[in-house]
Amino acid sequence: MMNVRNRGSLSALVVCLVMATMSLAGLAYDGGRVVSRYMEISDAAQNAARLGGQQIVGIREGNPRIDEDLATSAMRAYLVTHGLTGIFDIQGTRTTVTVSTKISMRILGIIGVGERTIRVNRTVDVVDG
Amino acid sequence: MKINTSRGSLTVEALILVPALIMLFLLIVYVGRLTDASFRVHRAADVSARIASQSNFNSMISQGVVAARKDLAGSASSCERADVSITRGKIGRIQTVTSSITCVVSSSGLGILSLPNRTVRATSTEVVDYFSGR
Repeated sequence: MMNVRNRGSLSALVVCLVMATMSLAGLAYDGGRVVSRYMEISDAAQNAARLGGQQIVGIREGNPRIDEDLATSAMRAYLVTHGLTGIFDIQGTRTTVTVSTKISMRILGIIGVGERTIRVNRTVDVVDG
Repeated sequence: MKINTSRGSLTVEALILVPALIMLFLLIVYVGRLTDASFRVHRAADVSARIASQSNFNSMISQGVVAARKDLAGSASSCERADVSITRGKIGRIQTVTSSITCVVSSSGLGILSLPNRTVRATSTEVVDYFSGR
C-alpha cells in the first residue's frame, strides 16, 4: 500500500514560495517604477508651474498678475513635450498645476494588481523680492 | 509492508527550488540597483537644471555639469559611468535649460545571472527666471 497522505503538500509549499517571491520582486520592481515616475512628473509639474509663473503682466500699472491665457498655453506646451496633460489653476500671482498619469504594473499585474494612478500637485507663488 | 513513495522528494524539490530562489533574489537586488540609480539620476538632472537656470548666461552649462557631477558623486552612486549634457532652449519668450543624464548601472557581483549593464536616463527642463534682476 502506498503512503499518499503527504502527496501534493510539497507542491503547495512551492506555490506559496514562488508566489511570495514573485510579490517581493513585484514590489521591488513596480514600487520602484511608481516612485521613479512620481519623481519625474512632480519635477515636470513643478517646472510647468514655474513657467506659468513667468507670464506676469501689469507690473507697470502696479497690479502684477499672471496672464491666464499665456500661462495656460505655456504650461500646456511644456507638459505636452513631456507627454503629460494637466489641470491648471491660476489666481492672481499664483499658479497651481495638477498632473496625473496612469502606470501599469508589470510584475504585480500577474498577481492581480492592475493600473495605478499617480497625481501630483505643485504651486508657484510669485513674490517681489 | 509500507512503502513511503514521498521519501527524498523534499531534497529533489529543494535542489531545484533553491537555485531558482537565489537567482530570483539576485534579480531583486539588480532591480533595486536600477531603481536606486533611476532616483539618483532624476534627482541629479533636476538639481543641475535648477542650478544652471540660476547661473548667469555664460556659465550656465559649466555650472550645470559641475552640479550634476557633484550630486552624483555625493550619493554613493550605483552608476558605473555617467554622462551629463546641459543644453539651452526656449519656450515662447522664456529661456529654458535642459539637463540630460545617462547612467550605466553596473551588474557586478551578480555574475551568475549574466545580466547586461543597463542604462538609465533622466531629463529635466527648467525655466530661467524672466524677471530675475540680472
